[in-house]
Amino acid sequence: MHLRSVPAIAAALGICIAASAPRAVHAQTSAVALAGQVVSAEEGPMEGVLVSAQRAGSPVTITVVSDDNGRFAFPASKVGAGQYSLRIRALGYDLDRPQAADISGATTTTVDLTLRKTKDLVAQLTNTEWFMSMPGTAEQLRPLIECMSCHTLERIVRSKYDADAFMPLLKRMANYANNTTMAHVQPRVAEREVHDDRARKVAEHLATINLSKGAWSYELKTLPRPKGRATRVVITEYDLPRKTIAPHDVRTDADGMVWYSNFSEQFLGRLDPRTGEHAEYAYPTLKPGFPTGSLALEQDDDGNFWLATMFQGGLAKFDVKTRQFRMYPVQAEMMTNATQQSMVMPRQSRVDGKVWTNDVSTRSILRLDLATGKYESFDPFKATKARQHSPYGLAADPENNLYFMDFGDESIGRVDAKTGKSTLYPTPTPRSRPRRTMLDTQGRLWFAEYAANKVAMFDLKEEAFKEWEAPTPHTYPYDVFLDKNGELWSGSMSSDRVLRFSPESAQSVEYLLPRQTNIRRVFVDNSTTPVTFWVGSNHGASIIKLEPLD
Amino acid sequence: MMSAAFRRAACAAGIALGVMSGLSTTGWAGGGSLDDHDDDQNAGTPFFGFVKDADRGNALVDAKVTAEIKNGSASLVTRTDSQGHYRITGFGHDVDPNSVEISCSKDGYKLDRALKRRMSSDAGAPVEVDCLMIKN
Repeated sequence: MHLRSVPAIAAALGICIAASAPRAVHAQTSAVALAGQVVSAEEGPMEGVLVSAQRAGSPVTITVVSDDNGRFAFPASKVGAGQYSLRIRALGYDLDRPQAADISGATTTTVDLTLRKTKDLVAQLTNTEWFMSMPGTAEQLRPLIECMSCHTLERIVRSKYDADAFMPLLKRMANYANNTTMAHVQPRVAEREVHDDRARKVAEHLATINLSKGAWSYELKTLPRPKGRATRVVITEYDLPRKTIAPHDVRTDADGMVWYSNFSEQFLGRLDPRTGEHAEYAYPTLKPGFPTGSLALEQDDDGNFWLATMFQGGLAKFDVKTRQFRMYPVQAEMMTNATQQSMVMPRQSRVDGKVWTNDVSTRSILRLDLATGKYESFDPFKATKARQHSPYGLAADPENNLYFMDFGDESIGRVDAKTGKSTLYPTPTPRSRPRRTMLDTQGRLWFAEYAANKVAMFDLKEEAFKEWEAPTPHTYPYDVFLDKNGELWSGSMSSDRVLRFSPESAQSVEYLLPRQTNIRRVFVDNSTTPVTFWVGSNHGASIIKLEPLD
Repeated sequence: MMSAAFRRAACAAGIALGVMSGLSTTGWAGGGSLDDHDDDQNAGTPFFGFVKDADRGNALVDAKVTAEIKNGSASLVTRTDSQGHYRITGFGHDVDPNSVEISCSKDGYKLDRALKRRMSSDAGAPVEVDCLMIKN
């Protein structure tokens, strides 16, 4: 059902990036439109300062990073003629005054930037920096992971609640749906039980890290700015037309179109990065009064898109040719007020006419039979009920056997497509909480160990794991993507950093994004050289393109 | 929390990518929601043991150990650590330990004999299963 198509931002963008032909042209070969140097009284020339330029009225912001001489350069292929406002990101600093640039197009415009120490460091800290700073055992900090699904930790640490005041608040928070953002708060319909003893422990700890006793009792720790290779990048942010849009999974198609799931609203979104044209395809709300929005977005073999529609209870298939949705609601016998499909795996559905999904509420795997529209349920945890399970990221092998991440616990699971038999493979690191995954063509399952701060690989044939620790602590990697060069890309839900890592050489780079991003699903477009990285800003209503210069 | 104390599978010891390892990142517990927690009272029999070369007595590292529920449809696969040890937990109390079959395998070896013993007669008491392997 194609209810709406909004060419919202096309006009503004046309001039701005018309020349860029983003799938082929890269910055290092281009002329420079805007250049300058970043300095401060404290440091002199500053490396690793993100400088962003946004043309008046445009939803597109281009960001480059200063080099070891403090110099930055915007390629002409990225910024056309016009009036641009400039902003920076450098922890501990602000621009000394508002800065703008008038780009003529014919010659290089020069603007030097002077930074001064910020008066509000706290507003600049990422969730990772709060995790690094705040006191508490790993066990005490762990519940805070859940908070940042919907909001930053800054809200907690700036609060003045004592433990008693936190108790009702924690219960209220637990009863918001996962697909809640600050711009669109969504209560659950099925009430979630909150264990008082557990909430009390959390409340008491929170009251030690906030302002309930006057001031923070701990030193604020900060992460270093990008340097070296991490400064060699161009980042493009495409602001979406409403703040309530929460892009969750983002991917490009063979034509270079960007498609995304909206975690908050009943639309499949599409952005043409060349023209800026933005379209939204609405699908029906099957359960009015229930939280809206979808999480996983996957493509089947025919290029059609599948959405896992969360609390709407089922799957939606978008036919790319007819632009029509077909809805697959979970059948009435299985549907409850808590039914929640967060994942979908249609990739190998041609093999047996089956599409995998999950039900978060029953911690089970579901499989849709395309012929009948009925779901069947699998319980892969029959024997291990004592543990806290929750199937999350899904992958299917060429026989459409399912591999899933046990996000509640620590295992990779397998469900045999023919026999339904399940196998659990605990990761070498206990309680790693594996989250999203991809299967490569060599039968290797790559995944993020969210709670272990690791990226990992499981070889299906060898049934063996490899794990690599992320270079920065407390980054909560949500997902990974192995690119055509064998490099692994991941993103932090808490530090606004994108990780690029070579399992072969163990070399890594961390690119800092210009704004608070809450990175979820990551995607790499292999059709460019170097590759192009895409991600949605789940809390920031924007699509982000990251182009490394090497 | 029972499981946090157990070490597992050294086959894939994490390789640190960076130098910022001041904060320990292992030992994070799973879950974390306010409405969820591991149900320790519900925890059933843990299994543990070692895999050894029966002739030489040396530990076999990275051997595959499978725990399968007989007549069931679920199994759990882990690997021995650098001491040849393994530990399998998480079975529910409703799982009869006698219905759990432990098997071991390692390239170039075959099972010579497996030794099984319960640590006590208490319900939920750990069961040790050791695999003694000989070269093919």
